[in-house]
Amino acid sequence: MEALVLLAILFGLIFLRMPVPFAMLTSAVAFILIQMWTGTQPIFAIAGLKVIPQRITPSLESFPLLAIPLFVFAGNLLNVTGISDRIFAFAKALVAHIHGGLAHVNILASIVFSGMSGVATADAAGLGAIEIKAMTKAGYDRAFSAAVTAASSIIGPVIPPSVIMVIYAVLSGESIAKLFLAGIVPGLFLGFVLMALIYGLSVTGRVHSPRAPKASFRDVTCAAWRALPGLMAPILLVAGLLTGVATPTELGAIVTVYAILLGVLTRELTIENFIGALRTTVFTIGALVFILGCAAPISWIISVLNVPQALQNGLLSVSDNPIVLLLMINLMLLVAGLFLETTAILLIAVPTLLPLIKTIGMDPTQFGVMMIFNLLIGAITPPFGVILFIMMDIAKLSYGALVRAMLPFYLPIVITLIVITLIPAITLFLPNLVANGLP
Amino acid sequence: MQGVLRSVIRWMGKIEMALAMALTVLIVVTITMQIVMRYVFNAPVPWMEESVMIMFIYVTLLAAAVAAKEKRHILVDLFPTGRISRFLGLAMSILTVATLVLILVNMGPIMTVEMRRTTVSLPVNFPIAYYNSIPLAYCFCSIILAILHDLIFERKDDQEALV
Repeated sequence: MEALVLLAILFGLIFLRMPVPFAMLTSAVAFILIQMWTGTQPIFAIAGLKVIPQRITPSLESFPLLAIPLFVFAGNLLNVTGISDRIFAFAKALVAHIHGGLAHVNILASIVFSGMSGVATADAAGLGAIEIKAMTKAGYDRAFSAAVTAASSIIGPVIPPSVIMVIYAVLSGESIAKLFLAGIVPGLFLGFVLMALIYGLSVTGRVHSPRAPKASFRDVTCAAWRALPGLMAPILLVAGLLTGVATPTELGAIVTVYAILLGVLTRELTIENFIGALRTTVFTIGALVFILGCAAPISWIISVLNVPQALQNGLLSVSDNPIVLLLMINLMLLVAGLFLETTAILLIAVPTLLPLIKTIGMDPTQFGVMMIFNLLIGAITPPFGVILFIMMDIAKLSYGALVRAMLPFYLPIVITLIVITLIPAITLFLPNLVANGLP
Repeated sequence: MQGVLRSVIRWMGKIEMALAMALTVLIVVTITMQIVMRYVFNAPVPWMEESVMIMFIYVTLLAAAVAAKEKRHILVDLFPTGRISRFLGLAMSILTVATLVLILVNMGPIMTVEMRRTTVSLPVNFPIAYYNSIPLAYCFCSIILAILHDLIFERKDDQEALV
C-alpha cells in the first residue's frame, strides 16, 4: 500500500510535467514526510530527509557507470565525423538491389551503426535523418521511411554498446560484458525479421520500393573500404568483450580515442565538431546519469518496504508457471513503457522484479535483454514514444500518419520479444560461449 | 537586478559546461593512460579508478546544473502549450525548488560526517565531502537559482509578450 502511494506520487508528478529527476526527489521527500507524520514505518522517521542526499552521490560511485558517458561521447564523435554517410553508402552497395531496396539499407545501416552508438535516439536523430532523406528522394513514401527508421533505431540499444544495458547491469549486479554479448544475437535477429517484413511488403506491392541496380564488386569493395574505419569501431568493441582484455568502461575509452584519431586522420574532426560532440555528451550525462543518482532514494524506500517480496507473492498467487509469469511481466513492462520514461521504469522495475526472476530460475542476463527490449518498444509506441516524436520532427509528418505506417512493424518486434522471452539460447549463446573459454 | 542575475546564471552555465567538458576529456585520458600503463609498462596505477569516479561525480552534477539552465532534463510533455501547461510548469517549478531547499537543509549533518571521512586509495587523502555533499549542494543551489530566475523573469517576459 505504502509503495503504491510512493509510485502514485512519482508518476503523478511525471505526468504533471515535472522533470523526471526532480519528480524522483520530490516523491521521495513527500513519501518520507508522510511516513514521519503518520508514523506507520518508524524507520523513515529515524532516517529522516537526510537519507536522500546521503544516497545520491554514493550511487554514482561506480566504475561500470562510467561506460555511459564514454560510449555516448564515442557515438557523438563518430556521428560528427561523417561515418554515418559512409556506413549508409556501404549498406546501399550491399542490399539496395533486394526487394525493399533502401528500406533494407536503412535496417543494415542501423545494425552497423548500433555497434558504435549506445542510445536509440542517437540512431534515430543522427543516421535517421540521412536515411529518411535518401529514401524520400528515391521515391519512397515519407511515412514508410520514417516508420522503418523508427523500428530499426531500437536495434541500437540491443546491440552493444548500450547505455540502457549499462544501467541494467549496475542495478542488477550483472556483468556488463555478458549483457553486451547477450544483446548481439537478438539485435541481429530483430534486423533479420524487420528485413523479412520489408521484403514481404515489397513483393506483395503493399509499399512502393524502387530497387537500385546491383552494385558491382568494385563498388562494394570501394564502399567497404570507405566505411572500414567506421566498421572497425564495433569490431574493436566486440573483440575486446570476447577476449576480455579490457573492461567495458575501458573499451568505451578505447573507442572514444579511436573515434578521435579517426576524425583527425580523415580530417573530418574539427575543433568545432569536437566541442559540439562534447557538449552533446555533457547534456546527455546531465539528463540521463543524474536520474540514476536521483533514483537512489526511491530504490532505498522500495527495498525498505520489501516491495520485491510483496510483488513476488502477488504474482505467484496468480500462477507459478514460469511462462505465465513471464508473459505477465512482459505485459506489465509493455504497459509501463507506453506511458513512462524508459530509465525511470528500469530504475524501479529492476530491483522489484529481479528476485522473482531468480526464483523462477530465469537467467538475469536473459531477463535484462527481455526487459530492455520491452522498454524500447515503448519508445516507438503511442502515446509517448520518444522516437516517434523525433521521427515526426525529422520527416515533417503528422502523428497519425506515422503511427499508421508503424503498425506492420510491431509484428516482427513482438515476435522478437517472444523469442527472447521463450528461447534462452538466443541471448545466452554468446555469453556462454565466452564463459566456456571459447573466444 | 534581472540583468545581473541573468548574467550571473549565464556565466555559471558557461563555467559549469567548460568544467564538465574538461573533466570528460580528462576521464578519457586517465582511463586510456591506465590501459597503457597496464599493458605497455606493466605498472597499473592503483588510484586511477577512484580518481575517475570522483571526476565522474563532478561531471554528472555539473552537467545536471547545466541541463537545468538549458531545460534539457527529461520530462513527459502531456499537455499542449497553453494556460494549463504554463500553470503546471509554474506549480512544478515551485515544488522542485521547495524539494531541493528541503534536501539542502538536511544536508548539514551529512556534510559534517563526510568531512571526517577520507578517501581510500588516492595518494592525497581528503574528506569525501569534497566529492559527495559539497558538489551536490552546489548542484542543487545552481538548479534552484536557474529555476527561480525562470520563475521570476521569464514568466514575466511571457506575460509581457502575451499582452
